[in-house]
Formats: sequence, structure tokens, C-alpha cells
Amino acid sequence: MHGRYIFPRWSNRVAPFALVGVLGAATTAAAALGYYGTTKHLEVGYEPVQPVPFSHKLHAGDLGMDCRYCHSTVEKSAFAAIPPTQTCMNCHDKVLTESVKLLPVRESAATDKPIPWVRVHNLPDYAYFDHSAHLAAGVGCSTCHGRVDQMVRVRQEQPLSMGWCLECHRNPGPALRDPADITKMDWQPDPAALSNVSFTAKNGRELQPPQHCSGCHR
Amino acid sequence: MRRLPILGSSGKQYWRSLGELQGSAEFEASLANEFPEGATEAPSGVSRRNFLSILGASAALATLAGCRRPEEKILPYAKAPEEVIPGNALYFATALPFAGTALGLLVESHEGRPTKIEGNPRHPDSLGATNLYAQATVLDLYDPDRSQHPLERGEKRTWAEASTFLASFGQGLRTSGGKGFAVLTGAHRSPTLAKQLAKLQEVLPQAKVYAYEPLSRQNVREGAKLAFGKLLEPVRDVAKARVIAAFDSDFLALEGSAIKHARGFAETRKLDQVQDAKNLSRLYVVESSMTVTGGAADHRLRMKSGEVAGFVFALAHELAQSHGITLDGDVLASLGAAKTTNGDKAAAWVKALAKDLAANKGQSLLLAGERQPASVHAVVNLLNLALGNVGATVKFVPAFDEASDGPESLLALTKAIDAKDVETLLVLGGNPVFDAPADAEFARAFGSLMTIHVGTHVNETAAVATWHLNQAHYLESWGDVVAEDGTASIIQPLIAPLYGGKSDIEVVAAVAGIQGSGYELVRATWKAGLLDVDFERKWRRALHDGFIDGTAHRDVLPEASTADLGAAIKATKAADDGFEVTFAPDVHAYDGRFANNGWLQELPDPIYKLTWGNAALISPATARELNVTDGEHVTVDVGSGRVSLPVIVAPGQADRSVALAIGQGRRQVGRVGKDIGVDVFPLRTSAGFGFVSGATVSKGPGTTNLPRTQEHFQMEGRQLVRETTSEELLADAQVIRKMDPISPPLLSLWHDWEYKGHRWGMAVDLSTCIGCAVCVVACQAENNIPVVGPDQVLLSREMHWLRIDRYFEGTQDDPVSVSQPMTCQHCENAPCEQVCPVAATTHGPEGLNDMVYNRCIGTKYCGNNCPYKVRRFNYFNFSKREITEQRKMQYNPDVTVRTRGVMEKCSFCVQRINEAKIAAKREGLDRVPTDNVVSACAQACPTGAITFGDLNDPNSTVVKKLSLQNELGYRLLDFLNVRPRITYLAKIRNLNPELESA
Repeated sequence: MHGRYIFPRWSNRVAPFALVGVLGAATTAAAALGYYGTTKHLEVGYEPVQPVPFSHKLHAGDLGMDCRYCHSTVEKSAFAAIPPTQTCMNCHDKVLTESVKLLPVRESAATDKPIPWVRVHNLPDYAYFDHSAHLAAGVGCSTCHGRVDQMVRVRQEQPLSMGWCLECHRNPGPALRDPADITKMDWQPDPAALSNVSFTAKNGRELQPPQHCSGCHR
Repeated sequence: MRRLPILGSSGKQYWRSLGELQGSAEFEASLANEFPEGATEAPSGVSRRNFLSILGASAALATLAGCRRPEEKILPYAKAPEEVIPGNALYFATALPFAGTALGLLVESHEGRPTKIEGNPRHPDSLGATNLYAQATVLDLYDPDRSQHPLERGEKRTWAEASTFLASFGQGLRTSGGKGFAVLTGAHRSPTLAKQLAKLQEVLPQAKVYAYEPLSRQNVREGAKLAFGKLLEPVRDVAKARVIAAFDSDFLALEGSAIKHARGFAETRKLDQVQDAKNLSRLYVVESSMTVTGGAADHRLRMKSGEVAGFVFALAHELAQSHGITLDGDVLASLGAAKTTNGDKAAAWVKALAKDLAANKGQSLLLAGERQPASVHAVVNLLNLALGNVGATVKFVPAFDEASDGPESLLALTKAIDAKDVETLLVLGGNPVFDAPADAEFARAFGSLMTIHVGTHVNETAAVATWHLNQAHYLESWGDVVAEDGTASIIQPLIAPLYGGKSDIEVVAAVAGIQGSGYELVRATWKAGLLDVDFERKWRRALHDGFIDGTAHRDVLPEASTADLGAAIKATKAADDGFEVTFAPDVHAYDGRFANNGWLQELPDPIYKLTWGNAALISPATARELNVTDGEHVTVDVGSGRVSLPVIVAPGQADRSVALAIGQGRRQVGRVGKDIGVDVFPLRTSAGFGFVSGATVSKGPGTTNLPRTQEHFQMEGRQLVRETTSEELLADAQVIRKMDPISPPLLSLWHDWEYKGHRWGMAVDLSTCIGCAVCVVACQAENNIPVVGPDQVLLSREMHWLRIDRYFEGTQDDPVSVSQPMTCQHCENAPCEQVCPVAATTHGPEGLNDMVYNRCIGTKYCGNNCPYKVRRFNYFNFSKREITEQRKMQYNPDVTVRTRGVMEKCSFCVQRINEAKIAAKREGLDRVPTDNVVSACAQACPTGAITFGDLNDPNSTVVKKLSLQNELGYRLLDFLNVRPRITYLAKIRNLNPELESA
């Protein structure tokens, strides 16, 4: 008589099943976040549209310009600075002077206002990466930035996570090259170097890639 | 107080506050707590619950916002300046005009933003170090409360309108010959400004120029005139002195070329070997309230400022009578009549000091304080001359100009205004409406005029001026300045004026109808002057070096010319038994100009550790007499004015002498200085400009909870500072070693660290540390340390990474003090590293105790486990609260700006270490070259008491400094086996045996 007000018997099992289900879903979600929520999945492949359709493939690849023609501070400073508009105009006041694509560049040169490039490789503010130190040790551009000479639009190739940094800091050998080859885009590590843990730069200087916190965080 | 059985003993009991000395119940209770009561409460206005709900809301927003990658822009230069490499700082030489001299500076600039001020090692008055104010001027540059546009009767005007006004105003004046026009300047030392003013008076023959400075050095100049018959200025060389006697003069911190004095003093106190203890200088200080100089003294005699004159006269008389010093007959007779010594102790001092001075002819130095009357300066000058010190420890150079900048000139100006001789007034900088002597009634007179005020802030004067013109900061404008010894510097701007301001030079030129920018005017001065031949090359050299070589004056050899001195001595007022009120610059606000500077306001003053404001200092005996304690108010009445303010019961203060600091209690000031401190200018009259006797002081209503850092950070009375005398050290070189605590064998659970490369370390020499606290501000500027405000200081939440602990020893009436810089000790067995649950603080391979903000979750375990209490917790997002765009421009881009909820502490300036290491790597070196890293504190230190460097490099300064570490060195709390990285060198005092018993 009170039957229709009573939950059926099977409903007793709903709670434990639901619990298992919720726990399972939570674990899956946590695992998925832990795996896919990393820079490897979120940031690699980031390829923003730039205000000027500048092609690295054309300039660095087909024309064979050295990276340091534009990123001239890379050996002197922590930053591989984006070149001033002036650098573009060195050639482009003679080449493609009527191009619509280059309008923002000519505008910038005329008005002295910067071109707002979109940052591709972005580290957190508490990580103090220094380009010049890496170049001095013999780590080349393509090791971290990939084959920029084949990119029409620049794309992030590596995760730039702390774990990824430390992998190399623990075993720098495979990433080291002759300082003369720093900007050589098609450089491949010597297969023999892949297995040996080397702390000596090709110029003979003993390397101390920091693995302690204040090496990068200050 | 509880004492551990293992403590060693030097037989001295040190204490830091009266509460500690007397063992008060509150103090005992406070020992058990790291933070005082209420330290975990939220700031007023937001209750804890309410705060949590805000926090919850912002956390939810943060999660949603975190799903999208923020798009960041890179804005390169369109046309790159030649020298700028993004990421690398540039340094430019300039100079800061300050306190009757100039400080040569090197300013660090990041992509056009000046961020940090350092001293110019080649400039004679800065010697590579700085003072508090020079460090803090960079914050002033970015002060959002700076005046940003011209004002006409409080209405905004553009500079175009202001320029039109100035041009027509100048035109009008020129047709009338400048009748009724006057200019009021500060005590400037700029050749170009002097030239513009001279030209102004040429085109406006009837115009008058007045000068006024609230901290005037007029007495010093007049003292030279009384003694030598001409206007001369003393330039001291403290390094050559064996016996130094300072009479009410804070010459090591606040008077004249203090940095140079402090460096010289340190030179005379350095020990390279134990035997050097024979040659230490001896510093005698006679003063009314404890200053940095008094704290550094070997012998200190406290007396009212008003009694100092009588004491100096007695000393001169004694030297003439018993030690064969020749003085003019009339002067001697006047000295005999005017000399007074209050008490046996002072009498014994006169005898002992006279004997010591006479025994060190040619290598002694006497100094009188700037607030002492001219007659005292004159007698001191004569004694220096008679003792053969002139030309050795003190030389005299011609004064920069003849202008009088004392209170009399404002009296004269007011009189001229009242007589309608002056109808329009141009005020160049300064704030006379606020800081004029009360009897000049300048504010009233000023209000009746057509006035133009040029200043960096809308201060009390600007607020009532007809026109206010926003002045360019010295880091924004061209100028020049002459240091005390005559060395000239060009002031070159680091940045274009943020708000389009103009310099005083430009405004005067505009009124005089002279064409040209500040740059052209300064160049014209020097092209017509010393740099005439081969101008461009010399000009560039001057800008590069920061000073013009060969401009230092040759000293004048003065002769005594004392016609007026006898009368002046007789006219010098003797002190009476009543209350005396003394005026000194406020450590925070100076004369009021830095009242809106957070770094300076939050800096604990070197002796009594008061932040944010001022108080009346009274001696413990006077406090008993008045029945007041710390923070209770007293009413000070000098007849012409009365002021009520809180007291600090100040050990070492002269009885019945009330020390007041001028410059606080500003009424028209920015958001930082608002409602801070008490204005004491109503008490200051032209007759009682330095100090005044005959005051009435009584307990008044009210109390103020003074934000002092005094009783925070206890160390429970262990042997933290060690000192001995040169005599004891010479008798037994191990005297400091014997103070080592008896410790059990120290075994460690951990393996020792091995340091193959660098091993960074620090040495702190307590013998030369004078406790001036420049290091604290330098650290704050370098490391983006937030300002937390008085409420938070009261809760012990100040964020300074480096603090100066000041210990008193002796009786509470008449103690001696020792200052000890205290910061993270970078322990080998760091207790903080062992308790951090997330490894946010770890040991680096070069001995640094690293702190990783992005890993810290804010458990505060490390702070609890640190025996030195040097870790600081961000209770709030201090770096975000009220941070304006301008303020952000000062931040050091090489140091992370911390957020709420993380610990922070001294990093040994790891950003500077990394920068030097990377520079070495770029050059292909294996190690950083010797002494290529210097921490911000060591760089700013005027005396070189702090040295930083590589302990693994036998040639480094720090290793050399530690050559006596076996005799004098000790590490704090060694018995804990935490093995700190900082070695302190014990303080050596050089006592006069004749005075030891006195």
C-alpha cells in the first residue's frame, strides 16, 4: 500500500555505482588535464596572424639571410629583439616599395610608431631566459625554434616547459654545435653525441647549465 | 628574560627597547610570538569574511580567464637609438644637488626608464655610494602625485598658455625695469641658474633676489666670516683625522658631504691586522639627541643643544689655558666669560678632550652642527686653525655665492612685501609657505601678492600661488651643480619630462627674455666658462665622467680675523634649566620635500626605528617627569606657537630637551604623505631656528600607536653583536673568540655542500657600520620591494629584505648603540629549506639559498623555522594595491614582482650574479672576474661596511676583508649549526682611558 512511495530495491545500488562513476570521471578528467593541459598540447603549434605577413621562409629560407641580420641583439642580450622598422626599410625602400602587404611597415617608418607584432614564444614573467648565454654555449636557433626557414608564418615548435628546459640542461651534449653553425637551420646532431652526456662546449669551455632554481628564477 | 645556558658572555647586556631592558610583561609575552597580536587580521575596511568572499570571486574569474592564452604584443622601435640593446641596462652619469653639495650619480636606465640610482665612484662627494635621498629620488620621479600641468589659481593650464603668460609677464617687467618684482630661490649651487639670475637682474635692475632654505647652512658660513673675516666654506677630510670631535653635528649622515665624511671615518677605523688597532681614530660626540654620528661615537656626551656653545667655549678656554693654544686676547676673555659646563662629567670631558686634541695637532678635527650658532662655528674654526688642522683635516674654499639663505632673508622679504616694495614674486622650487619660520608670517604676506611658483609637486605654496608651473625633475632636465669642494657636474636628463615640465633655469630665462632650451643655456654657460677651448670634446668628457675635471677649488689658507667674535661669543645665549626644543631634518621627509615618498616614509629611522611620521624624542627621565610613555601626546609650547604630538621615550636623549623633526605633517601632499606625522614649523621662529629654550611641555590628550619596528623580530638576547676596545684587542687578540658560546660538537645529518665554482658570501664590519640605513633603501629599489603602509607596519608586515638591528648597551639614560645589518644569512644547513613542503626554497650550487616564488604556496613554515626572522610574507598583493602606470616604470625588470601569498627574502641580488655570470659566459670565461658582482646594499654603503663577493676567489674584496676573521669574525647563532654565510666582524671602539670611568 505504501509501495508506490518506496524507492525500488535497485535504487540502493545507485549511490555506490554513482560514486565509482564520479570518481572515475574525476580521475579521468584530472589525468586528461594533467596530460593535455600542458604546454606541449596547449602551446605547441601556436601560430598567430601577424600585422605584416612577413615570411621567414622567404627571407631566411629562400633568400638565405642570416637570423642575426634582423635579430641582431641575440648574442649580446637576453632578448633576440624584433628588429626596428628601420631594418626592414634598409631593403624595402628599394624593393617592393609599392606593395600593399608592406603598407604597415612604410607607415611605421613614416610615423615613427612601432609595428605591433604578436609574440609567439612567450615564457612566464618569473622565468628569465637568456638568448646570449645559450648561443655562447653553442645552442643554435633551430634547437628551440625549429625550422623557421621553412615557416611562412612562425609557429611554436617546442613546449618551452620547465621539464623540456631541464631535459637539455641535464644532458646538453646533443644540442651543442660549433659556434660557427649557430644559425645553420638544417644542422643535425651527430648521432654519436646523442648518447653521451657532454658538458663541454665545442670551443672547449666547460659548461655549467644551471639546474638549480635561481639559474632561471629570480 | 629566559637565557639559554649555552650563551657566551662579554659581560655586557644589550637591549633594543626599554620594554626589553625593564622586562615588561608585554615584551615577555611578545617573545613567544613571531608576529605581534593581530598580525593575521585583514587590513581595516575589509573584514576577514568579506575578504574571503572577494577572494573566492576573483578565483572564479581567474579560472575562466585562464582558458584563453593571452595575446602579447612586441613593440620594437621604429628607429632604434644607437646604444640601446633591449634587455641590457645603460648607465648615465648625472648629479643630484643636495644639502649644500652635489652627489655624482650613475643612473641605471632600462630602455629609457631610469630605474636605479648608484653613486659615481669618481665623484669626490659620492665616491660610488649614495645617501637615502639619492636612492629614493627615482621613486619621486615616478610619483603619480607629481604636479602634471601648470595651474592658474587652481585651474589647469597647458604649457602653451603658461609660456604665453611668462613671455608677456617678462615683457611687462622689462618695461617697468622689474620694479616690485622679486625672485625667491633655495640654496642652489648651479652656475647656469646663477648666470640666468644675474642676467635677469641686468634686464630688470630693480628686481630683487632672495634665498631661503629651511635647513640653512648660514651659520656655517657666518662662522667662517666671524673667524676669518670672509665667507668661506669648510671641506673636511675625515680620513686624515685621529681625533674627531663633533658638537651637535650629524656629519656622518645628514650634514654636508656626509658620504665623504662617512667614507673618511671608515678609513680611520679599518683593521687589516690586529696591530692596526693602535692607529684607530677616536670620535667624541657631544649632542642632545642620539644621531647616527652619536651612535658611531667612542665617547658620547649628551647635553642640551643650548649647552653645547658653553661647552665649546670651555674647551677652547681650556686649550688656551693649559695646552698653549694661542687665541686673541679679546676672544679669550669672552670665552672665559661665556664658558659653562653643566656637571662634573662635562668638566671631566673638557679636560680629557682638550688633552687628546692637543696631543694630536694637525690630525684632529672639530665640527659644529649646522643648527649651532655662528659663534660656535667660529670658535671651532679658530681651534682647527690653532691646532694646525686647517690644510690637513679641514680646508676652506670660497663660498659658492654671497647670498644669505637663513631665516633673516625671509623676514626681509616679508618686510618688503608689507612695505609694497615687492608686489610680484617668483618662487623657484621649495615650499616657503609651509617651511618658513613662524614669525616671518610668510604665508599671510604671500597671499597678498601676485605669485608664480615653480615646483615638482602641488605643495602648500603651489596651492595658494597665482600661477603654479610644474617643474621638471632633476632626472628630466639639464642643469649643473657645484659640489662642496668646487667640483662641477653637468646634470643630464635620463628621460624626457613625463609631464612636459620645465626646469627653474628655463623659467628664469623665459622671464628674462633669454632664448634657448635648458640644454642650450647650460652649454652656453660652460662654453663661455671653463670648457671654452675644444668645447665639444670636453663637454662629452664631462657628461661621460659625471664631473668636470680640475674644477675643485684650491684651498684658501685663512688667517684669524676675529674683530667681531668676542661680542658674538658674549651674545651667545646660554641654556637655562627649562625645556629646550630642537629642530632636525626628518629622516623620512627631510625638510618636507620627500613626504610623499613611500620608501623613505617606511624606512625605520636609524636609531628609534620609527616609520611613517615623526614624534617628539624625550629622555626617560623627562618622560617620568611628564608622566608620559611611548605614543602618548605632549603639548609643546614655545610662546609663539604650540603643537601636540606623540612622544618616543628615547634612550640617550638629553634631559629636558625635546627633539622634533621638521618636514612631516604636510597639509597639501599626495596620497602617501597624507595625514602622516605632525607639522612642527609653527614652533620654529627665526630666533629659535635651530633650537629654542624656555619651552613649556606638558602631557596632552591623546595617544598615537606609533608604527615602529623596534620590538619586532626579537632574538632573545643572544650574543648577536660583539664589541671590544682597541686596548683589549691589543692585549689579547682572541678577546672576541672568547665570547664564542660553549657549544656541543656540531654534527649534521646532511652531507656538506661542495663548491667547485663560485661561493658567494658577505662580510659585515660592525666597526665601520654606522647604521645609516642607505642599504635598506638601495635593497628596496633594486629588488622591487613593496611599501606596505603604517597600518601594516604596526602588524609587523614590513617587507624590507634587509633591516638594521640597533642594540643599546648600558643605562637607559645614557646608552651606547651598535647597528647591525641583518638579512638572509644563506645558511649551509638552512632550516627553511628543510621544512618547505613544496621545495620552494632550496640550496643553490654556489651557496645561495634560493627562493622560488612561483612554487611557493605560502605555508610560512620557512619563516617560522628561520632563526634570524628575515623572511617576509606577502599578506596582500602589496605590489598591486594602488600601483599606477608611472610607478611600474621604476620596477627592476630583472627581478620578479611578487604577488599575494608568497614568501620572499634577500637573494644576495641573484639577478646581478646571473647577469655577471652570463656576461662572463659570453666572453668565453670560465668564472666571473674578481669583484664583478656587487650586491645593491654593498654598492650603496657609504662606509664599505658591507662587502660582497666570491669566497672561493682569493683576490676578492670580501676575502681580503675577512683576513681578520679568526680574531674578529663571528657568525650569528653559530651553535645552531645552521652555518650562516654572512660573517660579522666585531666592533672595535677606541676609548680614552681618562674618560672610561667618567
